[in-house]
Amino acid sequence: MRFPGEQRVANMQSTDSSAHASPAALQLDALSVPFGTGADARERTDGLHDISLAIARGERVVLLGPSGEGKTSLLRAIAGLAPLSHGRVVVNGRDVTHVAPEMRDAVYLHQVPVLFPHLSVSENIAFPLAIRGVSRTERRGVVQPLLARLQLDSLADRPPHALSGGQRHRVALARALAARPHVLLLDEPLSALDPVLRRDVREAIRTAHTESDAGLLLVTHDLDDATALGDRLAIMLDRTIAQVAATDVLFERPATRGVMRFLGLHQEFTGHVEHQHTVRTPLGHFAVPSDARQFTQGALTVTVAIRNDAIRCETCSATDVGRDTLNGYVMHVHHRATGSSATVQLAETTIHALIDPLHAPAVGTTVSIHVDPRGLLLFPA
Amino acid sequence: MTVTPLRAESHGSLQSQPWRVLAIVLLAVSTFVPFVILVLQSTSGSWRWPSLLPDAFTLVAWRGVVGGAIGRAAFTSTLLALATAITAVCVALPIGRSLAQLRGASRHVAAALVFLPVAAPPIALGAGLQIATLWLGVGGTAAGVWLAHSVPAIGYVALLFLGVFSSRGDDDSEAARSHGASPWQTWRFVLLPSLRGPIAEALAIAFLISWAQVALTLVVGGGAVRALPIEVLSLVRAGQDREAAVGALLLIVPAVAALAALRVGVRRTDALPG
Amino acid sequence: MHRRVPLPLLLAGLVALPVLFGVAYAALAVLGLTGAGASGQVEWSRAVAVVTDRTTWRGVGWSLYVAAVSTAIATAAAAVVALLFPRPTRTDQFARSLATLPLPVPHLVAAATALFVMGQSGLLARLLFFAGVISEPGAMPPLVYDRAGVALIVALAWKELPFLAVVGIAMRAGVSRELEDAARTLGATPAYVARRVVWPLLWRGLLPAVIATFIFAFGSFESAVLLAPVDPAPLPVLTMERFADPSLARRGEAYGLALIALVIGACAVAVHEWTRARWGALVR
Repeated sequence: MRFPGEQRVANMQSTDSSAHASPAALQLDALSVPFGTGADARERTDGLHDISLAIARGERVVLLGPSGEGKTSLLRAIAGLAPLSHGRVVVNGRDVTHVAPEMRDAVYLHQVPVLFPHLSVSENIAFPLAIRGVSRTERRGVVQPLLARLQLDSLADRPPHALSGGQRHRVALARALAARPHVLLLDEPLSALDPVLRRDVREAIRTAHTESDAGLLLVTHDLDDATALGDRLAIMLDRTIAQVAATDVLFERPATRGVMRFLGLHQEFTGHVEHQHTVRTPLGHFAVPSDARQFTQGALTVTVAIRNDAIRCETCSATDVGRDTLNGYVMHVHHRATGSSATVQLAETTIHALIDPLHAPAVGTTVSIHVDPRGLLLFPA
Repeated sequence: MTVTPLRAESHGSLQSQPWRVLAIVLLAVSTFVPFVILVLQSTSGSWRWPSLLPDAFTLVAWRGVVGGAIGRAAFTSTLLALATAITAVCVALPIGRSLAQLRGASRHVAAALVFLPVAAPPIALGAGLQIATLWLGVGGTAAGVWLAHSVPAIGYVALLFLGVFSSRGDDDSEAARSHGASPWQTWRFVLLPSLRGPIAEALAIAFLISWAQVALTLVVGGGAVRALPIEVLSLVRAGQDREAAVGALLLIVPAVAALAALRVGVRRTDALPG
Repeated sequence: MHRRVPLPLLLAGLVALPVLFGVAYAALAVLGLTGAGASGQVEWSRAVAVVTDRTTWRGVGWSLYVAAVSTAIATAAAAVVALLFPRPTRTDQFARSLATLPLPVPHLVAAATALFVMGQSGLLARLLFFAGVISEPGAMPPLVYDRAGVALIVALAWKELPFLAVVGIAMRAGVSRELEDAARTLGATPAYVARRVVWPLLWRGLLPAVIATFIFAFGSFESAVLLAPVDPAPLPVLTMERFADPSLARRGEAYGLALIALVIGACAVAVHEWTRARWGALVR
């Protein structure tokens, strides 16, 4: 098996910080965020724990995890809108843990854009400037380019209630940029949108962020949105951060079984350890990679995860015999926009294998399964 | 454990404790002192200058209520107010529902029209109503006064239901109709049950409009219809403070009790003009 | 091709009919075309008498003044209540209940109580005597039947506060937490949020109710008749006097005064609806 160049092995909580000369836009040190907002919030023991993360200037990090995991609570705590029970929040090298929200230089954007109803689009965008006492002429100088950049020129004098959903998102983004923050916090901006609007807003986020050197932390539960927008992904599971890595690293080397299951890109099997260097699975025998030998040492079983795209299926030829091949028969064939697969019944188990959509095997035919050992991962049983 | 303080709640110095305490004290004084004064006044045997409290107490004015002019006036007012309330709701509920279908400029014109009888200065409104009731043959009678009271009450209640039906939408009526319910059945089994709250609110408001009415009763009733406010007005002008205070308390207490009981259901203020 | 007036609009017209009829009748009556003593021919004398009489316009002006001042006081107090006590805590709820409890108290009762309190030998005078400020009832500055209309203004403001407080509280509640949060993370201090986000939305939402309050105060007969001076006499009282006048001509003039009152009322209704149309959608 191959290892990605600089990344360490599996089962490690990454608290990496990018090595940049200037301070990180946002740094979280061992945060604990209680759930709930009542007066007793700080006494509760559930909630997020041990959240550590660093976001460089100009970087986009996506916080990805199932709904209800507390991602919104975390974002609000970073913004100063919700309490922390432990840890430090550092924005651009300044400890803002006990600082009021308006002094943190971290702008929080709600899932549904919150625009000031009594102000027009350009007045909304100018709001952060008005707060800071910027003169009207200077304000125009900032607002006009933002309007242009986010294609809001023709809407400058409209009231918020006359805007479409996508337009409101863009106004909220423009307004956030006008505040020239060090950190942008986007709370599930794409979650409630239809596919067309989703693409529109994704593009708006990218455009908005491009010329800003703010660190952007975006929360979502959708893997596609995350991979489309994030330079790095932080996977949140079990009330803490399970792994932080770039997309390709994440897909190839999920750090824990939880991450692997969350991504949904692997199929799991029980592997019986034959000796330290070999493991037997329903899909055959495989060599244990050196960095995973710690799991096979002294263990009877391990969890073997195989990447979906490492399992292929081809129609049988009678002489196909070999260590890497198995035979089974096709139970279902699924055609999807993202690719086609077949559900194949093997001797001991059922698997999903990729197929060529133009030469799909018929249901009931016997096929042979090819597994690319490079797509294999081991986890403790 | 480091604890971040919950976000600062203050809105500058205005939110600070001394101002809030002062405000509550002022509100309490303003709300309860008038009531206390009326109670003292109504039971004062003699209250000479410069005593802060009555020198002697008596219940003679209270005992005189039953069977006396005040008692009769209270009875008249109650009947009038009940009649007005029921009339207003029966007439204005369908009207309000109908108005909710309007859009744009028509809706604003309709809302303004419906608000006219509510906002029109009662003396002026009474002038026209006096003539109308005379022509209808009920001038100077309780029936005429009932009609007169119903005019602003219908306006107010129509506005209330315009708000109610605007925010409700027609989904449940549509569901009922597509399941085979006739319009009447839809009203009876779907709409009315779900409108209990707003109907109670409307009844209370229309009741109060009639209950507190002075000018319309005077002009249309011509002095012959002795509603409770008319009685109290006469007593005050005649200098009979003690009896007037009794009447005033009888004017307040049922009204406050009714609205306090309704407060649980009154969360919406689309009900009120503006 | 004709446009049919939609039924709802007709119904609305029906509700307004008594007022429209009143306006028409008053116009006819003041012109001498109808009513007692009508000659069947247009007579301008009554209309002229009303319009040229100084007491007419002094009455109108004075009524407008009293309505404006009392409404301003009640609005300020209601805004303070809404801004000071916006939270769902028990204290705030208690304060809000205190402010809105007197809502159903009739104008008449407020006026009668004002008379008891602020009369020459009323409670206030006795408190001042107690405090050593005055020595006899005569020394009490007149607050009732006075040209400044102090007692009347206080009574009206007291009566209108609960109504405005109810609306103000609802408007304040409509300024969502999210709006404030968004403003805070954009750099606004709590004071700035109160000034530039909460207050602008609050006053716009309150404005229709303020206008309604103004016109209710303007037209209140019972308060005026108990507390107002004879000169200048407020419009409702003037109108009532003319109505009861034995002279037919004066009774005709009453209709002229009623017409003026109705026109002012209609203008207020128009402004009220315009503000509702303009800003009604701001705060939900």
